[in-house]
Amino acid sequence: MSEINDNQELLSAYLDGELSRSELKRVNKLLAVSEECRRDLAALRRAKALIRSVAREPMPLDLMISLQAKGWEAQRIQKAQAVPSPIWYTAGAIAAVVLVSVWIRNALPTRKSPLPLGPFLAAHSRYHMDSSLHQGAMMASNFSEAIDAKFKKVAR
Amino acid sequence: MPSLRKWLADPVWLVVLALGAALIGPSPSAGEKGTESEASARLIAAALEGPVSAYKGRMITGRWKGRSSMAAEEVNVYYSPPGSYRYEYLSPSGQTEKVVLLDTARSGIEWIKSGSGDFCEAKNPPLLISPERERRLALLNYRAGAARVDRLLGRAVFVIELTPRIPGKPRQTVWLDKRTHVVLAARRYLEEGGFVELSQFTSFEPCQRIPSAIFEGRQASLMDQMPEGDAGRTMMAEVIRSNPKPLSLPGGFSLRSVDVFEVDNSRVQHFQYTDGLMPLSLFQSERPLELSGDAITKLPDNAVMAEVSGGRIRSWRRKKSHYTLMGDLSPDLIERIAFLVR
Repeated sequence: MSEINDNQELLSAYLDGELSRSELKRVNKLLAVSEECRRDLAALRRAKALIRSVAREPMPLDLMISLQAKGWEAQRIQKAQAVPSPIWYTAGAIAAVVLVSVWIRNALPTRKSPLPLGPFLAAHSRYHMDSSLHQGAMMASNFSEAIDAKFKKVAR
Repeated sequence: MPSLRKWLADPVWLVVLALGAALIGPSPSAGEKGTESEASARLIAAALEGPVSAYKGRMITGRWKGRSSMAAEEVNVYYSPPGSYRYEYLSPSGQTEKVVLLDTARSGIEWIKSGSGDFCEAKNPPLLISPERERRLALLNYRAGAARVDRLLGRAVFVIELTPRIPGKPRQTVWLDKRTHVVLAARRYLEEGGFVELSQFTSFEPCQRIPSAIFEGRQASLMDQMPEGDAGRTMMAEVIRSNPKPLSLPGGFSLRSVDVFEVDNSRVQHFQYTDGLMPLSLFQSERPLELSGDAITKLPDNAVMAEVSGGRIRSWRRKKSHYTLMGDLSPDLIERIAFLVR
């Protein structure tokens, strides 16, 4: 069995022109004395001719897309698993700072954007309540919304 | 013909002249009226000083918001002399929702509690005027009409009208308990008509004593940031020094206190004025106030006048600061005040 495999390898290498001089002498001897070897060689030659002809046919489009996708996915996984170099760390940090700065600039109110009325009303109500309570409930202004405003201020 | 001197020397003419002088002189009713007004002023002064005996009761407070709706609340009130108050604000189901504890004898200290949370200690900004001066301001700025005797909650009360001596401010009516001098009801009327605020007891019961424990907020967990004592006064002096404001304004208003708070990371200074009965707020901020709605009038120099639930607002800009006045004042009076502040 091992001898047959060795002969198959020699014949394949013979067809590819990859044999040394001693191996070439050995194969020529075999082909001269063995009908089986000659048949094997003919079969190998046909097989190789068939493979070459198939390889020249264009690859079907769906197969090519599938292979490309697998290739990109493999590339992405490979990049994700790869340890980035220090220069990428620096570039990433700079990009993050720029992004955060832009976000803060957009999210925070500008200096002159208007203030909501609610806190002003609450402050006035709170003052109203304070001054009224100090006068012994003289006036009618004991609203719980003023208490809420006061509570928020205390809890802040 | 007897001389004029003889005619006048006649005792009969002396009687006639005396009667005439009595007829054209000040009438007894007018003098009585003045006395009654002074008596009313004394009653108001007593009410402002605070009750001398303990009581408990339930009160309704309300304020009209615009001309179509009113916000009203029920409050349980407990009082113990010399100045301890407990206010329990009730939910629609009658449960106590918020509690305010106030000790007027230790001005500026309050305890507040919301829901089932602990009490928080809340310090008010220090006062620039004494309570005595504030009471005098009320009597200087308002004329107390003759007291009318009536009954409320089955008790004898004095009904007193307080009319502002300077036009442009609301007048007020108070129902003062004859025996305890507690204000059982009060209404504040806008100058143009209609009342804007009310408070009225629906039940009232004087007590010999109320347990002191209900006036204590021992479980304080949070503290206000407002510094107290000298630190608070130093902070206030610094605010006033860097942003000088008039100590008094048209309408009889005096600067009572100064507070500082933040809105959207922007510092707002709150100058609090009083005429003894009514608060007036002057805000100074770095950014303008957002006002929208129909009740806005645009004025020259990009100023704006608006009517909101807190009263009337006038807002304007000067140099880098924005100013806002807020109070129940007539447009004319608020304009005069704004002119002085500008």
